[in-house]
Amino acid sequence: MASGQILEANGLTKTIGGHRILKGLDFNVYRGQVIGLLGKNGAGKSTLMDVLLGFAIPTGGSCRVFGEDSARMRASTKARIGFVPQSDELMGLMTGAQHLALAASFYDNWNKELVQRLASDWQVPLDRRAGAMSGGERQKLATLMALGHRPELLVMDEPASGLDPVARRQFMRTILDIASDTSRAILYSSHIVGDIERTASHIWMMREGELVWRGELDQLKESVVRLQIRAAQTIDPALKLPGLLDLSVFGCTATATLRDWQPSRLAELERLTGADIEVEPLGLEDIFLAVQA
Amino acid sequence: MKTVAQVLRMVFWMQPMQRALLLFGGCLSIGLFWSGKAPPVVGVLIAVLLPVLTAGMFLRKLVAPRHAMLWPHGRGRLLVGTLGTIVVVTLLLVLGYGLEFIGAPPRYRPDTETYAMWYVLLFVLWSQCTISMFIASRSPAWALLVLIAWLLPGIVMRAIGAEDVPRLLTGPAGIAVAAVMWIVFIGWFLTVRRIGDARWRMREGAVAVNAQLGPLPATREIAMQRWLLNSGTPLSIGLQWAIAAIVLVAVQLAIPRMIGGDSPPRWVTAMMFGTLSLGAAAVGALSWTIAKRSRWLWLTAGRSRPELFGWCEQLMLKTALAVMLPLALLALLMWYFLHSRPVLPPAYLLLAMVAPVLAAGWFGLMQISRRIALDVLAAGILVAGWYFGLILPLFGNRPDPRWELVFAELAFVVLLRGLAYGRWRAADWPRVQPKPTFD
Repeated sequence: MASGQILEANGLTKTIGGHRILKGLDFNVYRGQVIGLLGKNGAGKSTLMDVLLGFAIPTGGSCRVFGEDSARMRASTKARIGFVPQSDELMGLMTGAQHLALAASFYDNWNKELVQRLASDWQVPLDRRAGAMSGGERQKLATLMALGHRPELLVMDEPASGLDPVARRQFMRTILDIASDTSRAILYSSHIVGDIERTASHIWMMREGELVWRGELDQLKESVVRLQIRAAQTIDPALKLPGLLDLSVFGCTATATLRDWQPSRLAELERLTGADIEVEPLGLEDIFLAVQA
Repeated sequence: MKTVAQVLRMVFWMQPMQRALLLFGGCLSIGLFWSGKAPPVVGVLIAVLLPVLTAGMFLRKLVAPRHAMLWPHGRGRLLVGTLGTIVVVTLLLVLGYGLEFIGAPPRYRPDTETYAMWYVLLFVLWSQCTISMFIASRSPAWALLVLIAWLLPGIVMRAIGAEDVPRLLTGPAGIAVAAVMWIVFIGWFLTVRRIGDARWRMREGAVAVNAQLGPLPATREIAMQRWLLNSGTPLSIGLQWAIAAIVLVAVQLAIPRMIGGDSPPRWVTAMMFGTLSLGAAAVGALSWTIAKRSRWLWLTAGRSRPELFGWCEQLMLKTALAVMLPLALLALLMWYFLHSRPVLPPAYLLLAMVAPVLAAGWFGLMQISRRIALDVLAAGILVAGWYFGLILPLFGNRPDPRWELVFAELAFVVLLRGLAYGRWRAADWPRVQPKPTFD
């Protein structure tokens, strides 16, 4: 295992009911990385997390967490991981405090002060039964249960989907606090692209069980751009451009979204098409839509 | 140890009902100890009733979530906690048993061997109970399987011609069965990848979808009924309860025959009729569900609150009829063909069985909103009426109908109906919370 490496997957495949949900994924996760996992519904994000954490056994390939097979992790390895599921799996009859006390009983390094501070900041009603809490409060409680032992790897499946904007902002600030500790790594999925854009250092994009993009956020933003093309003559709708993701032609003007962009290619493209080309940077949401199209 | 303490706290002290029973049972056992009117162990039994019945279910609820799979030694610790519950419960019962003999002449006091025997026997029994509840909490089908498994050792022993089966089952063979059961259970529990959550209740989302997309043309009334009855119909619910009652009665009939015991037929008869009266619990649970789910119909049903109450009340009565008719038919069959006839007059029996059903029905509808003190009082009266009006006379040695009690129960039914109607009229709809789920 390379230094600082927490997760490692090679040819990771998962088939459920004859459907290949994950199709031979290869990746590594290192300390200090905050990875935002993007993908449409059914892209395989939750299954990927299930396999990463040993909840499900991969059909093919391998997945190692802290150097151990994810399906056979020792207790000491499990103690280094925190997980927030997509739909909280709390017991409706137990209060928030009882949930936390139970979770704390499994760890020697449970940070009670941290949990109390976060519970207070996030306004989690710890004296209330989970069944009587709102969806957002339950989600916050589930997150507290995953954070109390200061995990080195924090995996969260759409952790902020049920939170209001204020709570989401607080939550993201906490994620950034954790991320500032370079000995930890965070992998989380979300449909709120803005949150990922604000917090993630790396982006993974999934489409139909494959990782179609994996890299740093800045690198992604630099490599996927939109070109505004203005030509003297009508532009061919079947215009072929290297790395073309999307093309809309309106007579003499066209809009093209390209991947693997390098600024040095601009002059070459202008010469090839005989048109004026303007390069526009894209936000993560636009990039996501273009890549998923 | 920290986890064990948490599990014990959860099983004994987490809910108000647990705390109330524990305190009440404790006080009762002390009172009985001082008064000497009954064995103090009765109080202890009340105190530990919920832990005994719920430890297995709690275990499933605790290990089923995915985050529990990441707790270091999570399953092992929770299992030890559950075992700790069984140990504590058994210890308390043996102590309760011993209380009776404090101050007795030495020759009447049980020796250490007797205490040890009681401890082992109770430990075996609670073990079986806990594992059974763990399995049965998965789904109704598993519950039926557990019921069969409980009878299996008796059947096998009878089949192989073992003599004095009851003694064997409570002796070394019983301990061996329990030991094997624990070994198999622990082996499975610690190695299986995922342990499923309880699936006794249909998921809310699934019900909502079924309510809209069910196989029948969904008129508003049909859709409302599907929503309120968890996708069921009065007929299907009645059928389910009829099957459950037939199984339970058959088991009760079979037990004495299988283990070769000579239980008095009167006792078995009383037990069977007592079982049929549990239809009241089914009706109560259903009407409770109806009340809790009705909030979603406030806008969509197009009815005023009293109208919606009337409609839900009708549905409750239809369901109660569907549950009780097969049970009544079963009672008639038992009466005429099996000659299982309780000592009570038929008219009394009928009224004493119907009154708790109706009371439970309207008590459930009352739960549209809560008044804790009043609800606890009403539930207490309901259970007391059922117990003193039906169960005690059923198990009595001679015909001793308590007509005054049954008529009081019927008056109580009218009162509950009035209370339910009042609560529906005054219901602050947006604030009514759905029933908390285990999921």
